[in-house]
Amino acid sequence: MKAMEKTQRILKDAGTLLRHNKKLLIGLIGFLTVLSISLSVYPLSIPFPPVLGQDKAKLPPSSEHPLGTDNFGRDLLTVFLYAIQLSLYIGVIAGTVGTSIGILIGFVSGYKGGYVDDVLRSFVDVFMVIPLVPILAIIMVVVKSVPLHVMALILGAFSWPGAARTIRSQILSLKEREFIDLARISGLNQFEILFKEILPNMLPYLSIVFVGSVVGAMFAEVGLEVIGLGPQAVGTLGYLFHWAILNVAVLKGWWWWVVPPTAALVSTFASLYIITVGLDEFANPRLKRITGQ
Amino acid sequence: MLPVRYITRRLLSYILTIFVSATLIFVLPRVAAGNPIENILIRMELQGTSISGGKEMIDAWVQRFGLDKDLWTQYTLWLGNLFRGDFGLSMIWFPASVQDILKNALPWTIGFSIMVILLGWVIGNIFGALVGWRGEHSRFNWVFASVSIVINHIPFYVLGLLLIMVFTFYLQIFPSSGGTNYMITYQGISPALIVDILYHATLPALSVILVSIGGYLITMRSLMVNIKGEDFVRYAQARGLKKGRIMMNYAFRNALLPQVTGLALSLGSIASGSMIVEWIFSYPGIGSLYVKAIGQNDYNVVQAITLLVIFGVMTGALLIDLLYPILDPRISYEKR
Repeated sequence: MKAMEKTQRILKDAGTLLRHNKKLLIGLIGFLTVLSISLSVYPLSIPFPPVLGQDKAKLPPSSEHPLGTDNFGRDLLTVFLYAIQLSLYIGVIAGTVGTSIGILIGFVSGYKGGYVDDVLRSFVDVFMVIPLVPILAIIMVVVKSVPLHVMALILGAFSWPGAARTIRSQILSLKEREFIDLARISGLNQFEILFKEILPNMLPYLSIVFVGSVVGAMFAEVGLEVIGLGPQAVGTLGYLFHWAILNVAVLKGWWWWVVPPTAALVSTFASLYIITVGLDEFANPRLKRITGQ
Repeated sequence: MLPVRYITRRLLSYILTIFVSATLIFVLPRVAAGNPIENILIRMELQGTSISGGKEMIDAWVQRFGLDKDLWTQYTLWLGNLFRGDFGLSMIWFPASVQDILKNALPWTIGFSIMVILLGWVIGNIFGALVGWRGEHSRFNWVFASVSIVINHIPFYVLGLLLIMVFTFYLQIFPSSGGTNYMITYQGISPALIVDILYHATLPALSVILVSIGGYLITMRSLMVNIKGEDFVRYAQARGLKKGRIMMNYAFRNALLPQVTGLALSLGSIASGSMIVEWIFSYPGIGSLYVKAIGQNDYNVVQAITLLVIFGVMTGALLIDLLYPILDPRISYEKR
């Protein structure tokens, strides 16, 4: 009974939040739309859209195949919807890895301060400016084909600098607050202070940082796959572009090869971005005046 | 007075970053899959590569990279070669050296990058300032903001594909590949050549510029809206200064400073993206070479270009950062 009341209260709070925070609402609706469209195909596509044969390859759109077929002779609509799922899957794993590393570095750097902070901050600055795709490409060139989750881990290992920087600056301001002093006086150790006092107060920032890492990782993912690096056996959104380029689709006017993945990418990225703006406003209400409508 | 401490600090971090990147490029592939050169050599032997003098080439490599010695020796050998700008021979464009291949492509990339980066930044900031200054509540503003959010989230190369479809396939007004018309051979630099270069660069440049305009517009807009509420702007208004002057001299100049930092930070992602754009448009720069080399396992070329891009991005960021104290007289950098 108590649990039900609690869920009800959380739902009600979430409702109020979304009513007052239009951006968060719009972003969530956009993202959930993309997600549910991509999931609509899932039950049909295990393990992967069947190859219909070379005579059925590169067909134009028809009632049977709304987006035609790809160069392997697979229904492109199914491949496309499946690709959204795969790309999101990579993005979420990489984002989780990236955020965790970012939290760790940001926490240590902000909370310890001094010498440790100096070293970690220069480390973060170095990784902030290094162009990501060439560095990742040089790993992928050597490894060649990697499984999906390995690709995600590699991307995650490089998508933390933004997270680390944001978290560090939040910690810097939080650790000066009185309730942290109180916690210290009451004998909590550093670990407890970080996880019980600071972390819960940073939830909106953590979500912003998480969404940011997901977007960053997906951007890098698409970039690598476009040039033919990454998990080759499966088709992610980046691979759809790769195949489109290799088959010169745009010069033949095959819009159905290019426009759907573009739309999927843009709506995913834009809705995630709007979510972060909404979260930012929630964490820092003064921003509302600055960002306007 | 020159902020000496700031400059020393910045130079040190520049050297550190390049050193870290170079080390990463040595270490990462080896962590991922043992020795890259060895891997490629094994692959070549398995495929029975028929390059003339293949055996000698392999021997030369083993010696050059110290493959028969320990990792530390390999690393110092590698750093030494790097320092001399010696990247060895290309594996697919054999027997050309990597240096020779890059020499022809580099001017194209440098010219193209500087043009698109500056144009995107300037146009984006001007539009952002105008939109932000008009106020946050006009309908115009809302439309601008939404359009830029959408455009800013298209990867350059994806926009490039769409542009090719529209302007080359449907409208047939712009070429989709090359740096100049390959049918014409130009003698020296002539106006016709420059026009041809610009004509061929239009679509690839647009793919980068349009996207980056969106990004700078979004941030500039909110900076302007924010500054508009500051006391010094109110004071200028109360003094009865002309609107245009307040906007340019008071608001815009102040809002531009964080955008200069933003430019330095965005160089990396612009470089990554425009390399792929080059490839899509078969532009004769190092980006196209890069993707081709990746496709054919030319590890020496891939490695050299990676380093070169990192070096270029870091140097660009360094130059921008060194300009910053000149632009912002408030900052002495002595107290950092």
